[in-house]
Amino acid sequence: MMKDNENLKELIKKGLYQDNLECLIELCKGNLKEEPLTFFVLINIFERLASEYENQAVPSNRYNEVNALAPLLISAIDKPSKKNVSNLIKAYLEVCK
Amino acid sequence: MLGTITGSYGLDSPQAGAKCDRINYEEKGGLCAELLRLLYELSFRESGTPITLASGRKSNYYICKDAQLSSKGMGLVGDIVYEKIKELNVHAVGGLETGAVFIAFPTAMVARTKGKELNVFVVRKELKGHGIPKKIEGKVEKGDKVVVVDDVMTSGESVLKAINAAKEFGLDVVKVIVLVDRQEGGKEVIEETGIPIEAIFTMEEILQLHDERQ
Repeated sequence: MMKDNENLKELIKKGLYQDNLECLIELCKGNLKEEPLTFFVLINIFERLASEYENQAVPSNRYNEVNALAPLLISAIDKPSKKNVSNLIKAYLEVCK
Repeated sequence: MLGTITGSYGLDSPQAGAKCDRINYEEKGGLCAELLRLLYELSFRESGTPITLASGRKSNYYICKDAQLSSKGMGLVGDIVYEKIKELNVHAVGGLETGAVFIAFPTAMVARTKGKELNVFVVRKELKGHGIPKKIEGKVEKGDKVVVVDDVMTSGESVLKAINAAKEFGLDVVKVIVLVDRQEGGKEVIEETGIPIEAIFTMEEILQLHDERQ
């Protein structure tokens, strides 16, 4: 049983802004041993997204674009299959083009 | 024309070093007034479309790093911050990359011109692997008294990270100075640590100048 999954999902639904991303990173670190592939990917995605803020802000259209990843993030947490994680990575790469 | 600006939690006059609640930057001899003007002219950006802050809130204003990276801006930041910390007898000034660098370097350079040694330390955001770079770069040792600085504080997370990393290393953080407090809860977050925090400017002050210039 993964730790804090409900918290993770709640935070994702609340919005992928820097403060939440930092919390998400910490929660994901707690699940790394049990589900390394999924949570390693999630940590990397969250770290990169958080770094876009430079501790201040991003344009809101960028914020909305990033938030469109939420359903895929939640799917990867609920069912950490190779397919779900691959879909998440593909969508993330698209958002970061 | 720059009028009287009310500081949120009091600023020191670079010349007199006296604390006061109401600030008239023109009367205070110019350094803060000059830096405020420079920040407004070079770093303040009004966006036609909203931006999302680190805290998740929306805003139309952004502070970029152009003033901090201008020759004049660096000189002013160095002079002002040095005046604020010179009596603290600290060994070093620093914080989280990259925001702290723009404040710490000029401050250390000004210290040098006054015949004082003041080192800089930089806290790295993430260490990727086990290479030579350290989490904290700079000539600091356990027990050293330091001041943590940052250029723009939003929710206070970056300042808090710097404080925690410094404490973990064994440094004694005696004060926090930020160039601009966006007033998004950062001050309260830092105050919870018990470390005194001072902002040279608040977003409110910059917006007041913005209103005056419209």
